[in-house]
Amino acid sequence: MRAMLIDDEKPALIHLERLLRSDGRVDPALLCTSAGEGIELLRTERIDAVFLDIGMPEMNGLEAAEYIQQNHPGVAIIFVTAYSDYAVEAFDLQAIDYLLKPVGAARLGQAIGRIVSAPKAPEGREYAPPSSAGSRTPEICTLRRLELYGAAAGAVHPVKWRTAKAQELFAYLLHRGEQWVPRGGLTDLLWPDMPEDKAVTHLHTSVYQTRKILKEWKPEMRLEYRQESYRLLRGGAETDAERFGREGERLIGAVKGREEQVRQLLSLYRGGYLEQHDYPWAESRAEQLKRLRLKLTLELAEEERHSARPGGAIFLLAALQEEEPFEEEVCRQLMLAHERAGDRKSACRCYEMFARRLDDELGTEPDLRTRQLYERLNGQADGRAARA
Amino acid sequence: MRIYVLDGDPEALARTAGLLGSYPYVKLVGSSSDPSVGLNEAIRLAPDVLFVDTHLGSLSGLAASDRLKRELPRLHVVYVTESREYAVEAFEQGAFDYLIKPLLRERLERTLGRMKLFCGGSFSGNGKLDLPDISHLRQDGGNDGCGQC
Repeated sequence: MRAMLIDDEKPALIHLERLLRSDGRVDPALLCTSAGEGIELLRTERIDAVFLDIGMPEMNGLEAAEYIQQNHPGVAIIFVTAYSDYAVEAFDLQAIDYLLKPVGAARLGQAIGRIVSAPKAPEGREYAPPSSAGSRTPEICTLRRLELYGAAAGAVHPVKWRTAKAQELFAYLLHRGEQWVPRGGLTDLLWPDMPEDKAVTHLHTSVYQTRKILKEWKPEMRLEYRQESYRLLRGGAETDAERFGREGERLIGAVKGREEQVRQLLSLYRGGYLEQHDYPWAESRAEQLKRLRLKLTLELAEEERHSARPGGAIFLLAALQEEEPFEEEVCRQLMLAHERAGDRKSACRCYEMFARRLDDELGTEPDLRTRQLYERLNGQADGRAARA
Repeated sequence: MRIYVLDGDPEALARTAGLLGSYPYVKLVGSSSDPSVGLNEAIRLAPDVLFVDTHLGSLSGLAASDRLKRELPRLHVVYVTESREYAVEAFEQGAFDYLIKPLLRERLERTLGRMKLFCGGSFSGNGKLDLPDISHLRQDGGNDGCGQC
């Protein structure tokens, strides 16, 4: 098992490394002196466990753990800290253990035993709850994939669809709001290569299945038919994507002073609009929502960067970069956030990885503004090193 | 999964039990607000999980679950408490989770979701003793029962 050690104090890192080596079950492969550096490295290195200090100057260990838990759910987190006050938060963050400094070999051995025996969380974000954001949790989720949370099963389990076509029919009618959609439009969309009469039979079956599911799970929703057209009435329910679009548009350009609201709204965005289904008709809405999310996150990060705690901005931008790996503005903002946190080394590394990614994947290089920013930061970093 | 709830405060006990009772995969095997009655009953019923307060009148919840774990080494312990001060000890003891009162449904669901993952689908739901096989996880030994599982 490979571990990463993060602590802003070098002696503490070395002490822990030595203890881990003499235990032997876990390999202390990477030592980092800031959470920002660790998060950058996690994107390219395969790591099973992170030993994380809490009291660090830029991004603290709790923020870093939250980021790691969301973006690398298979990585075990063990806090190593001089403070006993954050153990409740550590439980909330599903940490494997919480060690008080100075760490002794016996207690560390116990923690290693727990890492080795802990079951892996499933990869991806299957385990993320639909959303903890806002006062109302949407019961119809369309971001990432279609999930319908019914009243019938304690609102935990998504509704299962009998067939993919019934699911697509439902998703498409949902997509069209409560408008009437002509039958011919639906058969062309769902069974384009089938003769009309056969396609209509399939449509009837899918409508029947959808109605059955709605009756059981969402009695307030109704699939109606009139004059050769169908529509889906929701009984007032709004999907997560609709809410994200509606509130997001209002917040663009007005993030200052509403940071918490924006943060909550952004947590609704669990993935692209219906991205796991590859519905061609969903693409343009998906693109719109993706741009909106990008703009909102950049604005929020800018506010955070100027605040007293730039760690929040690094957190936001690093997560955004996972989704938007080629976006110049995201890279620049992330570099600036590292700079603001006093960590030029991570800022430069961030550029270097971005440049390599562009070169490897697209055969291009960063644009002029990004390069200039790097030259400025790198020059200063070199200058400091030369003076030192 | 079979759960026993022990809480000296009858109101909190009712809330915890009420929330737990709403999940189809949870079987509430018993509950008590009296620590000594509860301890004996829990040993007899051998639940998969104990939800327990850190304060049980004269007895501390940590001491109570220590005693139970000696009898039931595979027991998972989840603290439900008003007090933050025992969380470090709870980690040392290998507690599964530590929840602050008032217990919130969303937080509880995270605990239960992780619990399902930890013990796979092998929880008994029919009241019979049918504990998951975790012998492969116990090789690290230690004095914490089997730590996380």
